[in-house]
Amino acid sequence: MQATKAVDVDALAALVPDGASMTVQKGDERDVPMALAHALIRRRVRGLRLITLPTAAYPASGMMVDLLIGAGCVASVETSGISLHELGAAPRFTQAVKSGRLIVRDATCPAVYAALQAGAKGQPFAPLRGLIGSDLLRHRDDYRVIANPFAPGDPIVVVPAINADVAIFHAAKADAEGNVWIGRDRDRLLAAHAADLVLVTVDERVNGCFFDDEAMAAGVIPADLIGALAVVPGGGVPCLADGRVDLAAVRRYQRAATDEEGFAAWLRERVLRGEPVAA
Amino acid sequence: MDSGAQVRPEELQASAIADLLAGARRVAVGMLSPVPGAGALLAAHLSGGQTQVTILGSRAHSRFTNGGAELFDRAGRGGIDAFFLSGGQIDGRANINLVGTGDYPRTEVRWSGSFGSAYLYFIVPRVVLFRWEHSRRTLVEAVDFI
Repeated sequence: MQATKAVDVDALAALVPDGASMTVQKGDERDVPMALAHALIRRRVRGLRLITLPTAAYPASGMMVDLLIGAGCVASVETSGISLHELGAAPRFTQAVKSGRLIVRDATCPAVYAALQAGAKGQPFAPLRGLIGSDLLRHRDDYRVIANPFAPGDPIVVVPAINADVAIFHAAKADAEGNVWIGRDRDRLLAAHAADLVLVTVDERVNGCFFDDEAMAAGVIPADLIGALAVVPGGGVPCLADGRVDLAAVRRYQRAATDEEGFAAWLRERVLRGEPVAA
Repeated sequence: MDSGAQVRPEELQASAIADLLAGARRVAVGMLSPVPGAGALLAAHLSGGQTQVTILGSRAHSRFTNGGAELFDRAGRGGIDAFFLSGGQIDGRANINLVGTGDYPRTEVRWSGSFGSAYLYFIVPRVVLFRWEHSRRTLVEAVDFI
């Protein structure tokens, strides 16, 4: 098969149109494409409709979403949770909600997964237990309650499928063909199945083919699902190569982003200059 | 207890939680739940292998292989006996609020969001609510967002 040609990260960012719906991963793996988020901010993308799968509440994922919101790239976010995990609130997200600049479509994790699974299968919606009686359901005009057609007297919530215009994520490595290795993290595979365009950054490109090794093949996204690929060593910082997160870096961000001036300085010094992502 | 040993309040809470998990087969621990996590591991230790604990986001304490949906899929099939939830507000009817205070959507205080609560609260038979701060601010008459 024809190998996927890698592009640079700014070329990836150029593929995200203004106003696109875009999924981002939850950040408990090395899946946060921070370099690509920086490139999106540099290209001054506007009106993104973010969908977090299902949250952005780990330090790196929360920080990336907070940066995009603070930089004015985001019109709305569908999420089950945004924070910097044990470090506390995501400052620009919190501020944007308070000021009314950001539309939040509050969700709950299993509803996001059910909707994404439906999207990945080409189904229009998915039924889901729970939710009935919650304000969450009351405020989501796209979540409906229907009668179970197979059992009388059994109301059940249905949620519309999620098929985002774009999915973005980071991964450790791609092989010569462009297959992307994700290990046991099925979430990125699910996101890739559900989105119309999949944009991926990887730390490295390796020789050979992951499908030659059955153990590796179990944790691979096939190249034909990937729309475009960029090799960006350290593109997932502040997630480190050993799987840990550079919490000190996220804490520095959190302190800086507490007010507008500090956040503007952070953008100026660390994002807009286009230097490699460094904590 | 050893003479002079100091018991920290967190240890008491973990121990109380372990007691609440007696008899549970499969226990899951979600986001930002370190003390319930410790309580669950204590319950597993005391159960002689009967209680199995999954801590989300942990490499050491998770044997899940099907992504973030697995917890919810398993719970939907009755495979999770106990889970932990908290809230910025908890009221006397055991409603919880993880979204914010004041009039939604422009809440005065905005918290992270509901995570899996709007589903797991309905599905998991034994949900333990935990909250360190017991005050009028956290334990309210009626939560602002259910």
